[in-house]
Amino acid sequence: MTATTEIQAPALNDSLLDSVRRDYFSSVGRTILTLVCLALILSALWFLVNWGLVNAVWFGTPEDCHKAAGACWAVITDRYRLIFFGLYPYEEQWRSALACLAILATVILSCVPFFWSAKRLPVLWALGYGLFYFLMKGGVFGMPVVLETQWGGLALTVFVFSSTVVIGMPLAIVLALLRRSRLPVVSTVTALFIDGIRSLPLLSILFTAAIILPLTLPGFLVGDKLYRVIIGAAVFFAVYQAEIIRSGIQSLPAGQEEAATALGLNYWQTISRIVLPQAFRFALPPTINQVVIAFMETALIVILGFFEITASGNAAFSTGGWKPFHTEVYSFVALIYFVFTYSLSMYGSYLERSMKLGLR
Amino acid sequence: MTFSFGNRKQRDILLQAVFLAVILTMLLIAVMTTRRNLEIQGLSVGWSFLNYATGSSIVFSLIDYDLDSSFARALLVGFINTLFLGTISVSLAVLLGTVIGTARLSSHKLVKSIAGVYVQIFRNIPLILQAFFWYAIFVNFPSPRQAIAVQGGFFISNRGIFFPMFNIEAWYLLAAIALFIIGSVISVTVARRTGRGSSLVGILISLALACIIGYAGRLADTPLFDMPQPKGLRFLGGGTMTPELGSAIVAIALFGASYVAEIVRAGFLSIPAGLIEAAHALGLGNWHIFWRIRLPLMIRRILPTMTNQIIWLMKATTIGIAIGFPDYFGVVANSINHSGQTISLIFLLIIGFWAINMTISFTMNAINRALALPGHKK
Repeated sequence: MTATTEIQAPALNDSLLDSVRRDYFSSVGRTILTLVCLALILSALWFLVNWGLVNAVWFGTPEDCHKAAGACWAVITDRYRLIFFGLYPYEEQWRSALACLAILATVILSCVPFFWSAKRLPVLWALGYGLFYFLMKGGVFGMPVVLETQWGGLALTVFVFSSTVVIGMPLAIVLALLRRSRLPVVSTVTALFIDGIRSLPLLSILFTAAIILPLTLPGFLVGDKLYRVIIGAAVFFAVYQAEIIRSGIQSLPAGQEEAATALGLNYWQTISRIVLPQAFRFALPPTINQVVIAFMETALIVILGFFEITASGNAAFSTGGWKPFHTEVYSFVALIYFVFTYSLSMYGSYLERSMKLGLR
Repeated sequence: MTFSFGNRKQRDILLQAVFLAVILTMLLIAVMTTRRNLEIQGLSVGWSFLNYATGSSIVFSLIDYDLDSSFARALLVGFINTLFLGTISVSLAVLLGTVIGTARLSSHKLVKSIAGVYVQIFRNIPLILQAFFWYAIFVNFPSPRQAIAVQGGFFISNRGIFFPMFNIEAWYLLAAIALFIIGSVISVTVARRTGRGSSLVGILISLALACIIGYAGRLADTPLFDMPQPKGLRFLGGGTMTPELGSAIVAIALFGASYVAEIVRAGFLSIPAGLIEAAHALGLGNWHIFWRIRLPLMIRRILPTMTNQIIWLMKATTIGIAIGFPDYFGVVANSINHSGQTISLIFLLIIGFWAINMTISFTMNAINRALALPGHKK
């Protein structure tokens, strides 16, 4: 017989002090960990508040900033129009701002379940995207024409992003359906195409679209460099999205498609009324993730010489004596990306949680 | 035999033939147009250009390269650079990501929230912006004259970070390191599998062999181990990490770690609670449960996802071009500018990345098979 020790039942109502002691100071190791974490958090906060708020310069010239110890937000307040709108004509920049808001509203409305139908969502995007394009380009309602070469900053980022999604999403559905085709030649060729593109870096696709396509396309198809790059980004988005949709379709029970066939629905009815609506439900969280990635990857076009928000940020501090204040500009641009991507990915994980509840 | 559209078999064949014909026509038009456009520019598609001298310099190279070197040599330099940058930054990303992913599930709320903040910040900012940010930090270090000296012979300056280094030819050094790692892994595995002998003996033998290889590859007329010495605007001796390489490594490692952390976290969460409860019931301590139960199971569960992630991060090394690190893509792009041999070079680009992807997925699948637990089919 071995001696037994009696284990006490945990106290029913432990006080705040008890739970703090248990969570943070129950052993030597835990105490050290707590102290290290506290030191880390406090010093980071101390630095951020001092650098970013207390000692920061909000308005003024580079000279004012050199005197101060903190952040130089003056570069932002001085140059924010360049960062947001690039080289868009100064008097017309309100159009650029409105256009960005139109896309923002479209993205937010797309998150409302009311719009999740095969009819409403395309209409919503066509409206939002069309509004963006006409506001930016002008030529109607007395707005002067502004060519794509003058678009820049946040507006260009938003344009490339929304075009990528608008072109890429239908393409992804087509690719996913082709890859699932009953016909072996069709599915093999599509699979080769999808896996081939997936194995390449996005940058090389964009580079090919910008530099190589003019060589390989007949003259009338070449088009503007910006649109070729957008097509490249859309194809890259589509091959990833196609795999997401395909796995969504595969997670449907086979009985769904069989039942549809048994009821006498033809291929298009089965796909559009039975398969895709359910597949998108499964595919929604990874789709949102893919959209977030597509948004961040628009930043790559800076390498091809486009004046999107990363490039306009670079331009904002490279002249006029603002050179030392790159950290402030990059933080500001990063914040713009962060607000959008963080809220979208939070929404994605909220959806994932609520869908798990439904399936449990 | 007559054709009828109502006959499913015949209709399928017709549809596939049409599909194939459309694709082939498009390819044919592309090839013909390209040929005509190249003729207009006076270029012919071929491989002979690979032997011509590039006449351009490459700022970072692990092998001998100068202005007279051929395009083939330049491409090799770029390919090695991509492998070099990729191996270092992806390994760092996996290590850091595993630690942070584990921390995200810590019972200690402060540790958990610090890890959470890290993941959210680095995941939600574009990699290229992060690369710009770190590059700006690296090139704004003090000049070599006022370099920050760190204990142990390290110097931080805007020309790069200088550190003590063996004076050994790169290939010998790499071979020695690889031999040591492979030898140690084999001896640990053998000792585990057979249950006999100590793995320490094997590790010591591989260390000795590595030392012999390293000694054989030492550079003539220099001491074996060298500290960097400040001399004017340069440093003599030791090793250098250029700002381009340094900021690319930091950016990819920190960005990649946030993605790896999420995979690791999901891997831990997917372990059935019953296994952990069983371990508790058997009287294992928290430490043992982590090292013997949770970690091994997590690694097996995440391997397929991790393979895709590693391939993705390898492709992400192409952002090096934005901050001036000459990776494979950068060298290909540069060679296109200098030689005009667009088609051949793009073909080589595709082959290069395809080879890297294949190697990674082959290796990871081999690891996956070797680690798979008998009877644990997913």
